[in-house]
Amino acid sequence: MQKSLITTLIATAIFSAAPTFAAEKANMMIMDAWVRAAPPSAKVQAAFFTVMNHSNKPIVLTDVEAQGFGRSELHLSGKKDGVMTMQKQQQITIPANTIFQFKPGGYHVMLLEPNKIAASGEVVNVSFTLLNGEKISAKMSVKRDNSKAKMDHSKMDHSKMDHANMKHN
Amino acid sequence: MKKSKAIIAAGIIGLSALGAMVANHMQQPSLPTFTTAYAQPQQVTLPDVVLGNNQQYTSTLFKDKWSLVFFGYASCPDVCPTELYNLNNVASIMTEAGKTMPQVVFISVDPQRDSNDMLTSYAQFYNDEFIGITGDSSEIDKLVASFGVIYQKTFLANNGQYVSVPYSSPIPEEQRESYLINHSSRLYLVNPEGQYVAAFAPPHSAKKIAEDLLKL
Repeated sequence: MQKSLITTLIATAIFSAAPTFAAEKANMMIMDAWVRAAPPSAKVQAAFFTVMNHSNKPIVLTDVEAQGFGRSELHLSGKKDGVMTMQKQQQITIPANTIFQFKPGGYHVMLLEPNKIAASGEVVNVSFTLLNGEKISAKMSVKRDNSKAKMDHSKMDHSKMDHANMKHN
Repeated sequence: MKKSKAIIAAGIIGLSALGAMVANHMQQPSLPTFTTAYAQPQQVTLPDVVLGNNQQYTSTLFKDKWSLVFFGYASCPDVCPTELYNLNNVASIMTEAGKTMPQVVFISVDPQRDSNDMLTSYAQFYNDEFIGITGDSSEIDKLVASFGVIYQKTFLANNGQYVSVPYSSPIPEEQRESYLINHSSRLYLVNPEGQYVAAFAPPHSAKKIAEDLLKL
């Protein structure tokens, strides 16, 4: 009994501490990388991360590929005349000696044509091509921004609690 | 003579200003003073529309409860998920404060690709209470006109330039699955009488939105 409880606790700890990976090359590092969990009925997902350019030269990302997705693109969300727009970027330049963020509402990798939408807890391999032809790959954990708020406790149905995210499928 | 004219003019201006204030107060009697939301100068009574499967949603959708309305589409990778996750944070704040969260209605302007069934599960992924719907473009456009929403199909043309066209315009065959939609990203507040009364402009902070909603 106690053993199973401990096992459960360990399993919970492993689950709740979503792994974070860092990909490193001599002159750059990709960190805090994550893929945003999306509804199974969604057609696209987005990946966000931080790039550190340790070098004295700009680093240019020219292409991106993600395992499990037919197509991936470098994108920038923006606002023009009160309208949200999104545009594919042919390349993105990370200036020398900077920390550059890909984050919601700004630069991101758009993941299209999923074999299956990646669920919370899964890991997506994302590989970038640089202008000099080199490649750098990063593992990105899939996670939600937040867990579902329960709005009305009187109507709360425990059978419908949000265990869906815990499936390791 | 000149002086008396001036006095009359001043009086008229003063009276009409007072009249406007009274009218404004009468038109928006139930609205508190918002910190972040922009109150509409006048309530906009929403038109009768039919949305959802089997005409599931009519104008009664917006009756007897406050609503937050957001327009988007399910192939939207960044802006719409950001908004829906954010609204779930608003719901958390409201619940913690012991207040009722307005119903959240996510309306897809992309019925060519989004079905009502998929929009229901799409919205509920973010929060069990969120509603996701679409309908015929003609019905959606009635609501769009009331809220002043702008939306356009946009795609990368062969010359490498983005082209934006009205939603119903024909687009190249190879773009029919992959087009994007540029859309207004305001969040609209509808009162329990089914009238559009205020809007939140982006960027949306959950805390600030909740601050205003708590005043309702």
